[in-house]
Amino acid sequence: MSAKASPLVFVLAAVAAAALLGAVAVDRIELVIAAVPLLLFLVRVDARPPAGFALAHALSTDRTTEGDTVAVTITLTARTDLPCIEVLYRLPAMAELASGSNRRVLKLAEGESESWTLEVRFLARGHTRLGRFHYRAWDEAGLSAVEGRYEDLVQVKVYPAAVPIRYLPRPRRTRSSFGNHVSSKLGQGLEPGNLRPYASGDRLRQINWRASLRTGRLYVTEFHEERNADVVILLDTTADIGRQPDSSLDYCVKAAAALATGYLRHRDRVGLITYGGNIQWIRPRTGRRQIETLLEALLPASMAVNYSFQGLDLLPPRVLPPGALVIALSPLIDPRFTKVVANLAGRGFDVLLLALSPLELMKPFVRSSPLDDLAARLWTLNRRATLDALQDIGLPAVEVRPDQPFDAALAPLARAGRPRATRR
Amino acid sequence: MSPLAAYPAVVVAAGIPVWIHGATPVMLLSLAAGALLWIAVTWRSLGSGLVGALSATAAYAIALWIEPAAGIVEALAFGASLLIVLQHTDFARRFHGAEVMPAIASAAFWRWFVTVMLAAGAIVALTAAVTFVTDGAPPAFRPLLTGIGAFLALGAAIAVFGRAR
Repeated sequence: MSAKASPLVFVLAAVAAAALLGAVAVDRIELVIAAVPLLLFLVRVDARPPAGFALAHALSTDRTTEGDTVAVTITLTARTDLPCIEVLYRLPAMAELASGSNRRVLKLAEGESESWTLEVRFLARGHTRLGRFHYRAWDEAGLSAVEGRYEDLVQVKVYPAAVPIRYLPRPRRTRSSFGNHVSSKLGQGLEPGNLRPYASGDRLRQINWRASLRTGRLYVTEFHEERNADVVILLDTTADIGRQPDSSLDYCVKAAAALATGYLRHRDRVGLITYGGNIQWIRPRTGRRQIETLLEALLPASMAVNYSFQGLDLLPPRVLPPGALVIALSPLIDPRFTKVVANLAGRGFDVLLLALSPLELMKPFVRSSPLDDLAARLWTLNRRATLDALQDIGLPAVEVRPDQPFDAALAPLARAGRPRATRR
Repeated sequence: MSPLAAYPAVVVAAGIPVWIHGATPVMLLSLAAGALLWIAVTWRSLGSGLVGALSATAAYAIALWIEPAAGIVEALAFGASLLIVLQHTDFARRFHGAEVMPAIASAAFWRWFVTVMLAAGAIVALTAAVTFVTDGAPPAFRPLLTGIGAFLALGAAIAVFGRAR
């Protein structure tokens, strides 16, 4: 490491030289006297800045979600006297400083250490690395500095934020396991179903006294069973529009995380299929661990370029169970994905398409001109025609605008009243 | 370092040439120097500080050229005020946006103060020595004093260049 002189050295030298030249030119000692403080300041006590220190950082957690903060504690220990050291804790591209300072100037005596804490907010999902330091050790007068870098990298997993959803689309078919969806099958449950005459073996608390008194015969109330369902989230990674953290894929990943978390809280089995370069999947399972598995799979989701067409016909039933509710999330840009969704609907799957409108995401990057406006209108019409064609084959397709809450986009599906679930 | 110390220093650096002699070129140059030094302090521009300091020095030289009577104290105040303006500008430029420990700023100010005191002491000592050599010392001692001076200057040069290597 070599010490670099500060620009102040040259500035002071230039002003002092000008004063001395002026003294000669006008033949006055006062200008020499004026130059004396400037020249004395340049006489350094110690020309080489010291740089004996140790840097360390500790993170409050190595797992977080988008928009959340992680506390970072940085400790600087001086091995020699440090008259002035500047430490910059470099933040990755998709992180910002929430509180504290990531650039500090300190003065430490030999053996002293100083700790400070800052909070880093993560703006986008993904694997992020923290722990890049830049330092600059100045001499006593600030006239020369030694610069360097130090790395102690720690990986932080930033999971997509899953917002709670009130209106989860109901699956048409349920499984035989216990869950929260009202099944068409009658049995033990909370939702009242039919009335039937009392039969031997019926419980006394099942007797519907109002109907029995009116007819003079004993009647019992039957209940609908509550069962769980298979839900498969189909994520389109063939195209991505916009810039992280607000790209179309980011929005779809957030929606997938929200849906997965919502259905898993309802005790459903949730799986994931990522349709892009290669088809990747997570088998439908239930439980808290599955939330982590799905979020882990969504973490690195990125656009994959592939020119071949791959259908989902060959996927085994344990990945795509027959009769599962398939929720497709896509900006509907690649026609191959539209074809895959139509094929699934044709094979009898309960498919629901949530089509993200990419026009709002494009606006910041496109200048407003008559030609661009016309192109946007044509694109809108083309998308509308695609959605209408899918609805014509019986596939419920909803357009989702990125500027509206995801919950609001799902509300029409709940209001439309999808048919009650039938048991397979 | 605080702008509270730098802004009065700008007034001193631009004001001393006008105070010595208020001729039009001196006033214009001092005005320009004051504006440039004010810009340097406010916007942390060392380039502007350099041009402002050179303008102030030019104004001071012109004022000294016109006005034969001037003092050593004004000269020292002029040099010290230029130093604090430039030092503050560089300090603010280097650490802009960083959290600076108060000890760093006080150490920088302390260094400026020590430098000015040393300069004042050196000027007083040199003035006294020159007065002693020209008026008080017998002519026979003059070669001896010159030899001691040359020896000290050589020693200082060797010390400075040796450390720099």
